[in-house]
Amino acid sequence: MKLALQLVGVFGFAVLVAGGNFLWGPEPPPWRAVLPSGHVEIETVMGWSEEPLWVDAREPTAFNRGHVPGAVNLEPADLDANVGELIAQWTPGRAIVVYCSAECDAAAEVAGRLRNEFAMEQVWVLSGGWSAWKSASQP
Amino acid sequence: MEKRLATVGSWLPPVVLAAVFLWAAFGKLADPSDLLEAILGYQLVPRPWAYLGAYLLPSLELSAALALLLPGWRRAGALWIAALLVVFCGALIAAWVRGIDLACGCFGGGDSPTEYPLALLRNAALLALAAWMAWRPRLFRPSRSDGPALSAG
Repeated sequence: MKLALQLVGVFGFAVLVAGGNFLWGPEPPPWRAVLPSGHVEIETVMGWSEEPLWVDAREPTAFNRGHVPGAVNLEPADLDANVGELIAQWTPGRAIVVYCSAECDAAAEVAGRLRNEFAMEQVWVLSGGWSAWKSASQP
Repeated sequence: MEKRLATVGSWLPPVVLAAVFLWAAFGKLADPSDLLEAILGYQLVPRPWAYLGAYLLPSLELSAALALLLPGWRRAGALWIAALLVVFCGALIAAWVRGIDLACGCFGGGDSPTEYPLALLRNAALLALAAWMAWRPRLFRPSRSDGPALSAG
């Protein structure tokens, strides 16, 4: 009985801490997901009439374990050396979707450089990255 | 000397376990947004539940770690920590088998992808320690004059 009360007490204190952190702690995250500028969700990409060019911004080891069919592997460090492969497939007006893992900055960096240094328009970062594509493509 | 070692042996494990969880809790409480993204990365729960978890999980870690530091509350703290570790291990295994690359959010923010075997090994070691404390809480109470602490069952 004493142990049960203590377990409830620990949980109750946790609820108080959580409430205090929500009210007086760091700024709470948005209740609903807000897509950053230049990001696109996988459901939107799947609704496009034309298949985009896929760019995988992860390291080659992760790319070799699995990637979107036809994707070009362009990690930020080797972008200048490998961008020719992408340019060879790209035509003005065709969308490019860049992804990396779910939690990473590489895709945003590559997308920014493709826009700024190579004057490519319609460059998007896939929200949720490789994980989002993988989940959406599974039956 | 033997008695002193036994005394240290009785308080050191709870303090170490509490320190690990206090460190993890403060890292997460300082940035709920980062933790929310990390939880969503597991693709196990919808955003409202992940939102609740981003506040409740680190608070539970903090609360359970503090309970571990109080001899009379040690068993309750150890049970909560063991329960949290079972949940964390389950989430890691679920993400691993689905091939998800993620930052586990185990100690707050961070972009580096999780090494699943290492994270699971660490959690298993902590789980074993917490389970031991929950099962034999008297081993971790301050020693009494009638014998060394580690001799108690």
